[in-house]
Amino acid sequence: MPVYQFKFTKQHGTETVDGIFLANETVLQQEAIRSALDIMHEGIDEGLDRSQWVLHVFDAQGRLVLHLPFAKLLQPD
Amino acid sequence: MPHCLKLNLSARDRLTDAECAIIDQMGARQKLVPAKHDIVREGDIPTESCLVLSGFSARYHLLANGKRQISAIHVSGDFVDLHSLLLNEMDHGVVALSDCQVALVPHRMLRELTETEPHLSRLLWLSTLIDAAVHRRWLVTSGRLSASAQLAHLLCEIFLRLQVVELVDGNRFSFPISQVELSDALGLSTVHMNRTIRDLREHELVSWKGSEVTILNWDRLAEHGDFDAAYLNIGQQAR
Repeated sequence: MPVYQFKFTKQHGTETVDGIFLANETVLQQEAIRSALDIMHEGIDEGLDRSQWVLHVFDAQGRLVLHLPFAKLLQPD
Repeated sequence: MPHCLKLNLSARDRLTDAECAIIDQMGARQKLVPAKHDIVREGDIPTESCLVLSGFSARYHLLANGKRQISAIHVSGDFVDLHSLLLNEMDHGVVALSDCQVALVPHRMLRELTETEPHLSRLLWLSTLIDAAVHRRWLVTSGRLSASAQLAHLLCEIFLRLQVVELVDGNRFSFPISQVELSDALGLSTVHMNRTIRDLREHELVSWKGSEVTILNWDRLAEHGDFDAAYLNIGQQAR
């Protein structure tokens, strides 16, 4: 199963989560969106606006495979 | 032999020698269920109930979109499907999270027990009531607590349940559950679960190495998880 690194760019600094195994690209997309929403919800509970965070996902070879600005999730379809 | 069931029940009330002998008979038929395999499937109509003798298992529901929600975690000494005695068709599955040794207790034996052993029957009834209390508590924590507080609460609960069946070593216990399974239990993404575990570590509430969890500060972990053990009904009293 492919393994990915999730890198969150915050207002100040970055945060990395390594070793995330995901079955395919569809699951990767779902996990990216779900993790961004979880982190934004956590921020709201703590009174923090994390809408400016950006998620970059890299594959095992270090290639960028997904780019997700959190703000994109707040825009209407 | 289902010593763990005796520990589990005797943590709530004293068992007689005769009741212990009946519980010993429950271990007559056993099987090993490898990790990740189903112990019982949704839609099954069991004719026996499974008692976990060793290992960890989970109740789960599969949604139409393929996602899984874990609604309970079972440890040694837990019946995973005692309710199937009366409810017939399973409305959820039970999966072994680690290799599980289970005892298969025929419903016929349990039915006879309800007719001849009122006290032991009440204790088994109590175990299903505690199951329900755990479900209620999970509902509250998932609805009202932050991810790290939910995880803190779960770790406190698992620690005490393992302590009852003598499976903790000081403040340390084995918890062979993956981050994917934990995220299915807490309704979080795996990535956020990873961050949440890191959060508890960074606050020096727990140490988590492989499958070994050490609670570094019980009071602070319990406070963080808003944990009150009353719902687990641990304590001997006449039932």
